[in-house]
Amino acid sequence: MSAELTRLSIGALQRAYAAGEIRVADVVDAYLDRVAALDPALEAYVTVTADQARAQAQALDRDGYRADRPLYGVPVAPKDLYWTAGVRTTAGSRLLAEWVPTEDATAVSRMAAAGAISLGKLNTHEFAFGGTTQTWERKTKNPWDRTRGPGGSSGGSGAALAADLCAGTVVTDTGGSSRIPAHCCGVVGLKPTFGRVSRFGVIPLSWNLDHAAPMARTVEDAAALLQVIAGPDPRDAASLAQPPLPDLLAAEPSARGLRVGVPRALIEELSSDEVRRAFDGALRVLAREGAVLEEVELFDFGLAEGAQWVIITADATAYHRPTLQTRAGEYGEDVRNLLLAGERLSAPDYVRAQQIRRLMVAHFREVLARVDVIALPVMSTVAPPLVTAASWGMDVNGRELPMFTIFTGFCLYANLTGLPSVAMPCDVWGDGMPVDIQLMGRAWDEATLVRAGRAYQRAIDWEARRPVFEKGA
Amino acid sequence: MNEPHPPQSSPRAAAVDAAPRRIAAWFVERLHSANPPDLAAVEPLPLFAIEPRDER
Repeated sequence: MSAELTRLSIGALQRAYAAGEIRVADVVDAYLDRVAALDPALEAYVTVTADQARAQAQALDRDGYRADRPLYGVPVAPKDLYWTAGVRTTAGSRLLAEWVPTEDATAVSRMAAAGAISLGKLNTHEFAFGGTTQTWERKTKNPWDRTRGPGGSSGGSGAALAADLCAGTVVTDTGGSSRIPAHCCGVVGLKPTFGRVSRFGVIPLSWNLDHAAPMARTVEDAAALLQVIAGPDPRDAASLAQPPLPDLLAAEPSARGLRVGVPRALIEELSSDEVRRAFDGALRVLAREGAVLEEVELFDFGLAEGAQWVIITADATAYHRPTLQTRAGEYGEDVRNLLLAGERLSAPDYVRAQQIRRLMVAHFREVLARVDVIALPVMSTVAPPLVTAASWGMDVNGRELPMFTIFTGFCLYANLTGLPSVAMPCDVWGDGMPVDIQLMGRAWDEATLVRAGRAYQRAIDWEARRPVFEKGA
Repeated sequence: MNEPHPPQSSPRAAAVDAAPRRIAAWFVERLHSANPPDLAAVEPLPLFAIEPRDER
């Protein structure tokens, strides 16, 4: 029974709690048993708060089920970039190895108020500035193939969800950090519109491009988390002017009549054969579900890529500058190199990048007047082997692409424009690795992504196809 | 104008600087890989401004 408990969706957990069929303490124990058995090999968790989780579970069982707490008894674990009162928050860095915040991030406190139970903190690439999630302390592995990385920067979250070590997580996405690990690990990343979720208490990478986001095993679970963590927060000015988030699970899942834009030229340019085949298969499923496909052209990719990296790196270097000047040796080499690269960027280039962003926002507004969503792969390839992921570039269909492009090329448009995007698993290809597809939508219209994403996941029955990872597998 | 440069550095310091220099050069090359027309007339996007906030 304990293995089955860790496979239940958030909705199924709520129904079972409401019917009195299961106890929170049993669910939490089942998850903690799995973490104890599998995480020594996967290294998804940085910190496990077992005693605290068990005490919270007992308190919930004592008080009884409450329908007004939509995450009642749901075991979650935030990315270790989110402040957690009394629990160390390392950002995957030696520099914060022993730092213990005195208050929770807004998203963390909102999940707790909704009845969620935190099992601990999940590994991140150092300061969320990279895609391999290999830190000085924890080297996170991909449950599908432990010679490969889980992606990043929220790699601990991707690995933990794939291996059923938590039911949901809150992460960040600055250049794809929720969608990339979702793709590498065959789970879901739902990056909402910029400003939808407060970033108070989230260690910044780029003030311009950081988004707080949920990750989960299904679109439905990710929507349930987003419903709780979204909303204005006076402590994040970017969150204040948002329209209300509708009930994301109220509408019947459907892709009927959905106009899907497909930027075929960009996909041909950047995708490996296996990613393109999986993506095309996903489009066929959407068409069978009633979606209407239409070719679209996206904004100049080179300019978008330049703008993305100049803005992230300049922002990150500004944030880290005081520490970089006094404790540079304590950063990992890859992050230190990026921060030092930021010192070499000019102010006019930073302004040019922000001008290009404005042009992009206008371009996407036009494209999304003709179609409802834009479909894209998430990465150029499946999760690369760990030894390859740390190099400058990799061959993709006979052409060397930089790792920057392979990891973030398809994701960066949604960060630069602030538009919402959901990544969800669509197939297993190549050496048995998962592939995600992403749908990008209009500003504040997460509901359309959730509705179409749920229809897609129902059509392919991903839950039935998802493997169970056991120790030693 | 002469490009500012650091004092003569050791081979080790130069090697340490090679990776950041390569990364920054690639970012800037990408940023200038095309020339949108009339870019001078485009106001840079301010922080916290996507629709509908930039339409107010």
